[in-house]
Amino acid sequence: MAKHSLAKPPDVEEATSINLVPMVDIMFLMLLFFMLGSDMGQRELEEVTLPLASSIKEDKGDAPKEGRTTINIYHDMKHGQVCADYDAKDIQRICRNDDHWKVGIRGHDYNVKDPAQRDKLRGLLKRDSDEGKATLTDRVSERLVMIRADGKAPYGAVQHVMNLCAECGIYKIETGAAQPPADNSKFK
Amino acid sequence: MAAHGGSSEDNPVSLNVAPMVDIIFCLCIFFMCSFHFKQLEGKMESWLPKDKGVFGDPVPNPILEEVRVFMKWDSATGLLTRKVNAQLIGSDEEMGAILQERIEKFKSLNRPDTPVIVDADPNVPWKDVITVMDICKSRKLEKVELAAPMPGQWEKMDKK
Repeated sequence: MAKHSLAKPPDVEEATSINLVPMVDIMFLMLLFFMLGSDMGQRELEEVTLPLASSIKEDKGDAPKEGRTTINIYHDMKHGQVCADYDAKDIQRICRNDDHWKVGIRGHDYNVKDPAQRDKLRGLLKRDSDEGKATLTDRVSERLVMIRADGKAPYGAVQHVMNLCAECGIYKIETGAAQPPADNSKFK
Repeated sequence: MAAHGGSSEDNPVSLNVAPMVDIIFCLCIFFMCSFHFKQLEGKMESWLPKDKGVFGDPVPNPILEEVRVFMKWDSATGLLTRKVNAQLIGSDEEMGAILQERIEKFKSLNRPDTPVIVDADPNVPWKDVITVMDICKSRKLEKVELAAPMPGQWEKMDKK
């Protein structure tokens, strides 16, 4: 017994290492999930509080072969300023400052009240409209336009956009709306 | 991986996975932070007229008998006034019933294509216009027109 207790412990180095293989596997799976699940088409869609309507069709984002242009009408202020008259959650606070309401297409903002910016917007819509025409001499285009306007946006801004679409020969207009929370089951 | 797993003696060629793990970690964090699910949105289809408005001539004879929803928004009080022709409207239910009743009358007079014309002030919030369109859709009144200012009126409105 005494001999045993005095004996030197065996000279064995125990190698303790973490097996990284399962972690790498799981991380790869997570990466794939986030890459495939994330919506990278956000550049077309601005943060907009859509008006609620119960009798709407689900927008699957499918466009005809002539393509679809998404126009956002939203409240925006430069340099992180806060507008006292606008709160997305408060239905009573409605801002009517024309400079705060922007028309956004593919990440660019336009103010429809400014004639120069309106001309730019018209030019852009004209180009899109021409893409949807069978021949450039056609008066009307089959191009689809989706107007995603904030519920509190002035109707005049939407009218302006519709008028520009009509001038450019675009007549197929869709207006974005959200399903009221209680009716969400309709979409599932 | 192989270096730590103790199999490096068996396999002299081993991969250093640490940089790969770092990069995947970074990518994972990036996607996790920027991730948000695609929102479910709906839409209402509305075709602009091809043969009137900016392309055609002004309507020669104004139609005196029509179903027109007038909407006016008072920016000082934030109150919305809605009328169907001359009749003041309170609730959405009331509006739906009156619109349906008037359109039915036109149908009985052999004018089934009579539209509901939404004539709203430019300051009216868009959600209230959508509400009227929604009422029409829910009552199967498919012909809804949005009244637009007369040509040249945009410029006048911009100057105000």
